[in-house]
Amino acid sequence: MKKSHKLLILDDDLHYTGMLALKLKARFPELKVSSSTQKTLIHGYDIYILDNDFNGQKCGARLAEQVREQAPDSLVIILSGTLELELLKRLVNCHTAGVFDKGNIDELQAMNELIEAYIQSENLKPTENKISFAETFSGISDMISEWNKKLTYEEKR
Amino acid sequence: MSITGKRILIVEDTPSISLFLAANLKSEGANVTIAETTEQALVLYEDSLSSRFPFELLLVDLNLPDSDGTSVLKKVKTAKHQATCIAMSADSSETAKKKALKAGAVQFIEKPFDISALISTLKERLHERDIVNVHSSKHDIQAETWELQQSYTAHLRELSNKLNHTIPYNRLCSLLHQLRGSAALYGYSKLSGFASRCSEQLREIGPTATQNTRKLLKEKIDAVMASAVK
Repeated sequence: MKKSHKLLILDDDLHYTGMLALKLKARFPELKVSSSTQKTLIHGYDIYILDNDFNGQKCGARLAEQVREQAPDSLVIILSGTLELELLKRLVNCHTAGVFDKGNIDELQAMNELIEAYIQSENLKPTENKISFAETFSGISDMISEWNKKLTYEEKR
Repeated sequence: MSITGKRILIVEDTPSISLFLAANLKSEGANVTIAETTEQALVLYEDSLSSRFPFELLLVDLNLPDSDGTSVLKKVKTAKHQATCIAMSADSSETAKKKALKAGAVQFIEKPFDISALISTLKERLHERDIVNVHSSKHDIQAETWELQQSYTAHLRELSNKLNHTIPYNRLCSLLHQLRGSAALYGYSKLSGFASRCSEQLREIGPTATQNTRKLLKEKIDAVMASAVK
């Protein structure tokens, strides 16, 4: 039997999360939305979608690091319109799977594809001898390439 | 779990409590109605059953002027569309709790309550409700989408009104960030793009551009809303 994946969206924009949750709800019945960045709330999910900007505070890297500490095999995705070098370094170090721009609706589709790839890789895994997603995800080079493109764009600005 | 767009009925006869609750739930995006008596609550609830969007959650005070709040809980329990009921009371005795739970409440909350904890409870209860209703029909998804879109349109109107007044630089930066994401998701791509450009310009120029950007953003939101009406 296929595992049902638990998904957490952390974002302080309730209108955004309301609609995003509705789009993902049919696929992820065990979906939770929170606008709190408290560490205790982030335990027990398979997939995390984290906004980088909470009321002007850049929390994405800190949240991703906390998630990785508590859920080593989970999929971590960051929503951010900008990608500073320091943020990128921290995200790479904690094996964040991707950074997507909230303002670009096409990137929502790309995010969905990344989530599906993760779920497929999870379903293919044997129940024992689990290895982390970061080691198995075949598109990791694509992900770094995408990051580099974004970084180049940021440097030009 | 978000409560954005959720229809909530507050049954409470003390205005300072009901208005405080309503303001906090509305700020979370909920669609809130207040009833001061059990009679009003039952009429509103029954009316909602024949509407497109029945109430999903009732927050019921047990000590109401015309009768015991448990009569509302019992009525909801037997309805075809069962809303989630949470009982509230200053009487925290075991007898009061048991009576509320037996009548149909899923949870008992003691007064005075902590508003953050109360909102978290509501979110959790609505989340559980959504898991139960996971096999929702396509119609339900369309109805929820429509409801969220209405809520977002109201949010944009409210935002436009707020932009009539001066706003701090950091608040405007944060607001533009949110707007570029949410507007794109709700299909207002031009507004999202505009917010993105404003955000970049504001960061480049700095706080001196705050009030000019605020005015431009208000004009853009008004124009988008006007064209949406057409």
